[in-house]
Amino acid sequence: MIGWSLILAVLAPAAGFLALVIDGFFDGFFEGSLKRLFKPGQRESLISGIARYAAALQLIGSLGVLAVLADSGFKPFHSFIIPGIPLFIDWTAAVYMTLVGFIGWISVSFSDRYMHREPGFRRFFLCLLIFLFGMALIVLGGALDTLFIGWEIVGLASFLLVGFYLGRPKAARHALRALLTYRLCDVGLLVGAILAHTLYHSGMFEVIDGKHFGSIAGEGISPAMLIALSCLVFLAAAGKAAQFPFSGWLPRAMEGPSPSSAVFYGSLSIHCGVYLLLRTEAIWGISTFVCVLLFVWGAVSTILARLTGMVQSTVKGHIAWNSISHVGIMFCELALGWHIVAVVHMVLHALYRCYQLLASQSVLAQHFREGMHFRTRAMLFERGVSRRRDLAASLYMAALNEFYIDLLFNRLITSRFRSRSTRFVETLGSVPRVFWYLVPVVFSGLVFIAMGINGADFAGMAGVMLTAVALSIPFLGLRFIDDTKSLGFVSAVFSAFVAALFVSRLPAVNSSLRPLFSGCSFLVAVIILCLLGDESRPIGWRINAGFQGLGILLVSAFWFCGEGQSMNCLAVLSGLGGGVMLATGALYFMEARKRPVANGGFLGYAVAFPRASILFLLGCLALVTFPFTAAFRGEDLILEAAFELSHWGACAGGLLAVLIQLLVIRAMAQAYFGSPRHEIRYDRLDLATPTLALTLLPAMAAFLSTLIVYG
Amino acid sequence: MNSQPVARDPVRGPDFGPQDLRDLLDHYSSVLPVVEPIGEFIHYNTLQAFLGVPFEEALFKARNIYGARPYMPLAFYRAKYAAGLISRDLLKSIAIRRIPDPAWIDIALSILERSPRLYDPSEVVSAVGDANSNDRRLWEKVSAMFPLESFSNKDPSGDRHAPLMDSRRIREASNRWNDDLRRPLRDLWTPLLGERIQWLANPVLYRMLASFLDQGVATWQMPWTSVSFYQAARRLFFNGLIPDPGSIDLAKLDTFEAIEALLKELVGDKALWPSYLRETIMANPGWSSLVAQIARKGERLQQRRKIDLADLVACSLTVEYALLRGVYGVHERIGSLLCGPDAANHDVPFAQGGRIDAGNARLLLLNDVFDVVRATSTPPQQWPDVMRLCLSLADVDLESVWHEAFESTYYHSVLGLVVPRAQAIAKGEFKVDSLMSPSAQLIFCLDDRECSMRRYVEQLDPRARTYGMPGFFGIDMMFLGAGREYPEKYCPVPMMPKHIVLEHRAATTSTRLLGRKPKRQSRPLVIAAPLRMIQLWLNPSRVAKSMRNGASSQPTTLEFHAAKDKPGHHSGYQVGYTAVEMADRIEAALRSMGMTRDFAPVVLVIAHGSSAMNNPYYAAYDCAACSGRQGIPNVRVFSGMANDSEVRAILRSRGINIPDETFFVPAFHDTALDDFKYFDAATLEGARTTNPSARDAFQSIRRTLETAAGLNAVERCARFEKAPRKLTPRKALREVRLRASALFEPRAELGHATNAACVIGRRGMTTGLSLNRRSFLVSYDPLQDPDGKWLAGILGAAIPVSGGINLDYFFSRIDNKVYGCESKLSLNVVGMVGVSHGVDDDIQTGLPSQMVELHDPIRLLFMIDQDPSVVRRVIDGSPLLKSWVDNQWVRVSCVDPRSGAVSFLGAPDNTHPDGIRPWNLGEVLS
Repeated sequence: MIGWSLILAVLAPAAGFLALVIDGFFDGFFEGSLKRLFKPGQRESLISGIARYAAALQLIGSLGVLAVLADSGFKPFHSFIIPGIPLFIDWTAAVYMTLVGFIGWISVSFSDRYMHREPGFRRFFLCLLIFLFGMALIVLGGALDTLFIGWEIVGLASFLLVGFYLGRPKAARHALRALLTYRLCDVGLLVGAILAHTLYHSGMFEVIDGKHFGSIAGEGISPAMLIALSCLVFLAAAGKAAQFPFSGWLPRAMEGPSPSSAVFYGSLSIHCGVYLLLRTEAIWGISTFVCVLLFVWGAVSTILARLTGMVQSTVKGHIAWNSISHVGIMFCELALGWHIVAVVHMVLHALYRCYQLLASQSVLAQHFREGMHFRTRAMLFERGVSRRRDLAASLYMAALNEFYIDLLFNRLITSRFRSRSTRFVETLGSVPRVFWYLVPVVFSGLVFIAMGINGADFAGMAGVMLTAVALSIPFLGLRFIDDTKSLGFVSAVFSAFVAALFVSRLPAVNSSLRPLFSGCSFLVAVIILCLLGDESRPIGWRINAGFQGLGILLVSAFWFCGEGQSMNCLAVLSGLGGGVMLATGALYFMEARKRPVANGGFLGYAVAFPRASILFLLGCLALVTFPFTAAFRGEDLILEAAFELSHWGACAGGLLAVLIQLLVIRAMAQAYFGSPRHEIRYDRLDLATPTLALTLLPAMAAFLSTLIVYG
Repeated sequence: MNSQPVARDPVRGPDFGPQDLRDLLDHYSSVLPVVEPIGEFIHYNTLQAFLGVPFEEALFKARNIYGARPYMPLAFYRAKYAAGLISRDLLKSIAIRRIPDPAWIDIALSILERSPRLYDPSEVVSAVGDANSNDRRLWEKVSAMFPLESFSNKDPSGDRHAPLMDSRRIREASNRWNDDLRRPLRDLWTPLLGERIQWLANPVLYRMLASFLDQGVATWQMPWTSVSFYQAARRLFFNGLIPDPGSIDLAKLDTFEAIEALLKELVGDKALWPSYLRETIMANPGWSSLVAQIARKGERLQQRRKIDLADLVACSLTVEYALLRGVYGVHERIGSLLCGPDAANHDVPFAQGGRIDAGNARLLLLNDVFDVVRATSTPPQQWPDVMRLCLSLADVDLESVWHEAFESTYYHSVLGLVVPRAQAIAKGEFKVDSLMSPSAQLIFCLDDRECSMRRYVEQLDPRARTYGMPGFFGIDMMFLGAGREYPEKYCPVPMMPKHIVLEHRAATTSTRLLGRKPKRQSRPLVIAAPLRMIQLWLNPSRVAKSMRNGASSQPTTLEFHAAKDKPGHHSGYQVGYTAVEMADRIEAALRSMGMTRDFAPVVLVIAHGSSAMNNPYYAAYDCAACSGRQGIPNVRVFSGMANDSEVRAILRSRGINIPDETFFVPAFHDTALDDFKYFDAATLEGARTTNPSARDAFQSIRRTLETAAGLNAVERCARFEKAPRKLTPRKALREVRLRASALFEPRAELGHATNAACVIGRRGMTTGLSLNRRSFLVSYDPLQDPDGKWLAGILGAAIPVSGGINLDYFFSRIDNKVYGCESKLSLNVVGMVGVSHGVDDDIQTGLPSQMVELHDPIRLLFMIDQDPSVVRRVIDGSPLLKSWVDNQWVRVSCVDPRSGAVSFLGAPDNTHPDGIRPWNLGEVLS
């Protein structure tokens, strides 16, 4: 009973998702076979029908879980009923899962008629289902790693639904902003998971829950580390829950159809942050300092969001900011240890906001026809003392501009980085070409010296040289050759292949030279990062350069950590390589057929090539180690190993990698979104399809090898 | 309404003075599309500003300003053609008039029917790619005739086919391919900021605008809303974004001086000012239009605000100034950033420029030729002719030929229904009124949604007579609802009423309640949210009811009698009407409908409105003749007046004898729920005591209406794709009521979609004809109005109101991205004045795609049951009507009541100096 309930709760949306994918891929596969279940001849009712059944099954499953748990007197337990996905169920999880099931089912049912005749009908339901699957992983996941996977899936689904109207540049910008904020804050969770592994030697909640502060101290875990871990968890929670200073993405995410806004920002997604805190209470709950920190964080967010919410003159903005302020209150409640209050607050708030967002469009009817007015207050004392009036006006203006967080961020970081990187690229452009040919030689020379001192064998040396050259050529070559995609493609295959070769033959490196080597690669990664800031480069170039940067960083981390990481490194490189191959191959396929007319802005491939652009998207996501290739796991382990060697080194490298990933995501979104303005290229038409086929093969091989590596 | 376009182009050049600045802003506020505050939404002719020029010309002018498409894409017309909705004969006769040599007509038709257009690349690819081997050989031959090599990219002018390159067609194609028609001046800031300045400045500007105009969303109101927008914004800026005055002292300047000073600071070179201003205004057309509209008609907001286009421009420039100077420390000016070739380029009009690969253009043109050749199997020696024809047809725009054929086909079909009937009436073969005395009379609004309802009522009760007139029923009034703070207008927008009617809550047992505001509807409690969520799914109509129930349920009385000796005044209007004024209005209404004798015991006066739940455009579904409101007060006042014994006495002296046993009953038709409500039941109570027959008649017509509503719902459901087919009336009613109540239904009703005709005449012309809910119906008896006195009143309201509805749908359908607002699913209500997608966005203009997706863009065809010379005289009497009719924004046909002959009205020309063109079925309209 409990087994089936759990399977339903977790896997039903995934099964629905797969069914929709299959149906879409084979152009109405289920239409013939399932005719009797749905209204005949209507593609829409079939799609929404599948989604509705999946969501209903999930709801039944979650109710089943709740019932069984209640029957056993709310005793938490572990389950491994689904291989590879450890589950942990306590009363919080069961209650929240029921909420997820209920709201998910309501939203899916609601959308059936709501989305009628909308372009992207299937895409909408696919996103909803994958979102529900991600939610189930978050809620029921038994380890921080499982939770992280769900966390990323939810982030991805949000990204796709915020940008549901592919052609609108503003929607694309806001979707991108949501994803970038998520990704940045997810680092907290990722590093937190690694840290938890180091501290507890397990990411399982059961293990974590069992520890007490005393016993941890006994095991030699320093309180400073525990505080760091708590802060990382808070960072992750604050990002998802749109707390200060990350609040800006949430109101901006109201770009999609209302049900998606209702599900994501109104009810489920925003409360994931609270749920994460509930889950990890064993980690942060044992230090008073951390509790005070959480309380202050929540209180500041609440006050600022409430003020901003008060001045909002759009209905959805109003709802969004007030949701943020409520979640801030929940943070405070948790900090005070009011566990049950927080859960009750969360559930009621989720339902209320969901309803409010769904009803938001009829606000006019209520306002005008029924003479219903919102309470408005002139908070400003127009006849008051002028200083007091100015203070109020300043506060108003600050609230209206969200306390200038965006402007400050833009002024201090984004614009400075962009203008600097543009200047940097201009400087590089003026450097003689010969210098650029020298760089790989110098780079491999360094490696050569390192190997030679170590007395490594010839094969090892050759392998390393080849790798160095392979890793540098595409990004250098891309600078000079106009048609770079093919080169990048070839070099990507090449480097993945060579990496595999050298990893198998590698001897240990002299430990005193390690810092030199990793310093060099760090420098190269920084240069690549600066180059990526130049947005006038073609997308393919940027994606390739991103791959080079990440590859160099991870390989150097591996070098730094020494032996025992070969398999992990192979996994990373095959995942990244497969990703970049898929992305560039799909991009090449699309660009060979149509060339974007105007450079800059968004290119709109998703509208022009619905299917190929999905491959492109998948490739890019694999490249930035979204958790569906083994690259994620390998990166995880490499970082963990690096972390044990040097905290600061690992953090710096990780941060650099994340920044490069953010820029790759940016490039991806710029190619994916936008309204299509393309010219057909008659000269290249014949080449496109074979290229895609050619690309798919090694990409599949890379993914397969990953699977084999990790069994 | 009367704003005529400013035809001249804005000033440019180095001597740009303050007066030029004012002129430029005036020019833009006159050409911007009409956007009403959403709470007051009215259907307007989107291109109101161009009313003074002929329709087709306006389409192209608008394209140059907004970059919109003038017609539907070719594929639309071809699909209609395939479905038989465009007649081949008409297409042929229209095409023949457009091509140089009638002998080429077959080739021309083939081009129309199947040649792909340049700007539909996917079609071209399939044509080239799918050609079988035979065709490929032919293709090679064509290519050999016009060698591609000679069209090299590098030297477009040097080859022998050079004239092709200048073809307007290729230019147009390139226009449409390039959305970024030219590089905006403001993009010059981008390298300095690392971001387009719009992305930084727009959120600030939009939030300021929305907060200033907000009608009650924000809980903390913007300070200083009593002064003008720029004054308020500036004070706020000094408290936030501009802490110190900077190089110009903004605090001392008025709005126009500030604009000048800021332009001097930001742009520098005066020659660039007009371009920069145009960018500032056109960068957010929605807000600019809304602001221009509020400036024109300030009284349309409940909470008045002082704002005009100059305020918006000044604020926008101040935001840019604050960001550039204050936040980013950028001190350059546009004038110094712009150098060399860019300077010459920046000033091209909106829809020019853009490139198309010359080789591709040739290829595409050749492909056209090839396609025609293949389709017509033309012998090779004629291929050059085909080529020439392709080019000449390009100059007449294929879409316009198609569009004319599309409209004509519909006009023919509807005239083909009505004209034979009119001729039968003229010959006396068909009686207009049955001889039986009517059992009940029903006065509906002329609305096209009532068209089918009237048909069903007449079917069910042959003795019932229905009438149609503009839904304010001739009562021009302001109305102050009980508990409302501001009076609202309940008549067509152009009318300026002088009277106000006050609503009073009926005395209840507790007198303390009198005069108090209605109890604010409580928002759902947090605790109740789960219940609400479940309810939302299980029983949406219940949620809807609890959201709908407001003040309307409490009985009220209307004060519409003016005090005998000295009429009172309220907010500048006279309270109520004197007996003579009442009689004037009732007489005008009755006479214009020709309803002067044979009164039934019960006369229902029926207002209409819509109560769909999921609808940010709620006013769009209500009565446009009542300025987008539900005309309930109008019908209540109308009936009250008509039941008044004093009024009846005056009317009797003027020859309209309303018998004492006749009662006028106000009613309301909810077009979304298909549901009728009746008001002032006390009237009926009174009626029952004096005259039981009135009560019986009322009960029987009430039953008839209920049955008719069911049948009407069946007809409506046929258009909803999601509604089950073959519904019984009862199930259909349940379906439409669910739609109206459910939050998850974006198409509660389809509004005026598919409206295309308007019949002004005796009901006999259309009884029993199925006009498919596409026609506005106005009652008018030409025989009682030989000199067109009442017709003037009818046309004065009917042409702008129904023409506005029609053209709003027309343009939103033609280009939903530019004139409309795309999907309504992501709409966000901004300050109760507009809708936008998400937050921080421009206000959306026009109608959402859900409302217009079924609409066929056809200009409204008026069929007037009157002698054309009389109609001509009426139209010539009003400059507004003259520009509507003569510039063909609506098509007006007259059916002579004596002969049944048809003629069309248009601008006078050489062949028809009087502007009346006789017409016979089957002819092409001129």
